Amino acid sequence: MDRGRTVALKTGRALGSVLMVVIIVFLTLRIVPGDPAILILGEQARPADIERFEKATHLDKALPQQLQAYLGDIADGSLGKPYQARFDTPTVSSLLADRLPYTLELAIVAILFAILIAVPAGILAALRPNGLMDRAVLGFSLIGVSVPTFWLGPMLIYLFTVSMDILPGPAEPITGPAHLLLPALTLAFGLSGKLVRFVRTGVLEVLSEDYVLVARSKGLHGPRFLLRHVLPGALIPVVTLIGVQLAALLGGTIVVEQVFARPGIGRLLMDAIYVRDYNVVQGCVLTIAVGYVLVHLVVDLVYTWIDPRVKAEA
Amino acid sequence: MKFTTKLCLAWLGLVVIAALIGPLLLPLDGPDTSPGGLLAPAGGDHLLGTDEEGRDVLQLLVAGARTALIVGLATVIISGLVGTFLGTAAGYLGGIVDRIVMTMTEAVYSFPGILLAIFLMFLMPEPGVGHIVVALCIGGWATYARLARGIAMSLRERPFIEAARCIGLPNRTIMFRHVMPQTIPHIAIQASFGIANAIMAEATLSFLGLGIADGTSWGHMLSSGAVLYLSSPHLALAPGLILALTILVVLRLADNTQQYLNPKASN
Repeated sequence: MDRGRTVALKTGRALGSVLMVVIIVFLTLRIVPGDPAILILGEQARPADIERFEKATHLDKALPQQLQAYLGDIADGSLGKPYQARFDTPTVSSLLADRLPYTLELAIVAILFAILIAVPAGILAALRPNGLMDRAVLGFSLIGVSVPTFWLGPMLIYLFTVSMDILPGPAEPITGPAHLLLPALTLAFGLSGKLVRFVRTGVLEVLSEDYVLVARSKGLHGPRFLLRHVLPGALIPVVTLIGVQLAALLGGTIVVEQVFARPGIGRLLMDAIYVRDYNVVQGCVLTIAVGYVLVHLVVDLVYTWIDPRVKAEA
Repeated sequence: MKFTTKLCLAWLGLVVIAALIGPLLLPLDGPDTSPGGLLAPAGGDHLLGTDEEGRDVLQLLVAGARTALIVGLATVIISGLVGTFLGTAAGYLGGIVDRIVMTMTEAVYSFPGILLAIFLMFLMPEPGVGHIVVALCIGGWATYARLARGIAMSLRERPFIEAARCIGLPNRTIMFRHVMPQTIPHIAIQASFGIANAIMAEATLSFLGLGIADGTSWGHMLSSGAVLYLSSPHLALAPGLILALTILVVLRLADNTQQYLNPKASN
């Protein structure tokens, strides 16, 4: 099958499942208890205000008309209006555009930190399997994936903000890159634990390949040999994992955003579900789901591109 | 057996004992309302101190072990069984069954797992252990289904399955007696890692205030501990260490299981 058709087919199926997720979320939100009008306007709201609120949000209409109105909002790209007056943005999509950068920069910087830690550590570990370095790296990896972010985060705040007072804590307004350091490190700790094992396994596998044996018997060795001959093959599984982790981070930052009081997508979603701000919840879910399937799709394509042995299959 | 493996088994044994008979030996006393009973430091009447409501931290930790183990085991058993069954059926029968099961796994996979659980927990008023298990299973079965499907598909054309079909065995018998047993080693490896994931997920949900909210969860203890870690570091230290150590031990033993059941997969 030719490449263009494969890509189109995969994209279509991915967007189909995103639409399915959004419709399921739309319906479940309206089935479960919790009235947005009461939760947002308060228990003492006057009936006239509630009526006006429900009229403005289409909540007075029947379910099929609500769904139709929302699908229209998706089609014109506005994703509807947020129910809460405290958001001064006209549409949910502009609200998401405000908040998305906080999540994206955190996810990307965390991944970069994780790569910087995991790639050198994984290579060093693989050079002498079962050696001292190998054991240390594997031990670090196990600790990295075991320590919960919601414990590590407060501990780092305690250490760097409270005791040493060299980095800004969550109580101060977000101004510069220094604010990104602690949350990114918190996420990177666990991520590098996952990554390092893949780097190590990848390097070990390549080192046992015939072509490496040939290169070695020709007298190649040292860092240049590692960079030119071993790394490219070893990093293929790592690229996939990085993609998958980046996709997972779109939602996975939620805990760190909570701990460090960062106004990202995950935090927006949590707050919106509490007050049943349906449009904002649906918008967040849509953003995360689209980002998630798109990253997976790109990983799929990149994978077939960097590793010609894998053929694209529909 | 390696020394570290023995250490891991010892810790796991301690957690299991705490979960099984701990609440009998150290029942929850209820809050200490005497003067100095709130946020008491470690030592004295309360070995690990008390929290902001005057509850004994050691008693809560023991109760938390039960929560963690129940969620970990129940989630893995239920989602493992459901996933293996659906995946085997999809892989062996193919056709419309395969299409339906695969569409369902795609829907689950089009959203990060922990967010799916968070969303589901919001829908449940006054959540308990059972609700958490349900929320984790809804997102958890898909991994097992995909694994079992792959194995079932690779077995479909093998001679012993064809032979079973030739002598007229019904599909049901072939699936349950001949295909599903072949998936068990792979499912078991996945499941042993799954226990650690489920324990971490329960702690995360309870930390966010969406799971167990009565203090009998390590995650929930951390959420109240995190607010007070300046004045009372003992509140955040003990549950965090125990949670991390338990997950570490389960992962380490899962690694061992993998080496034992499938030596080729691990290097």
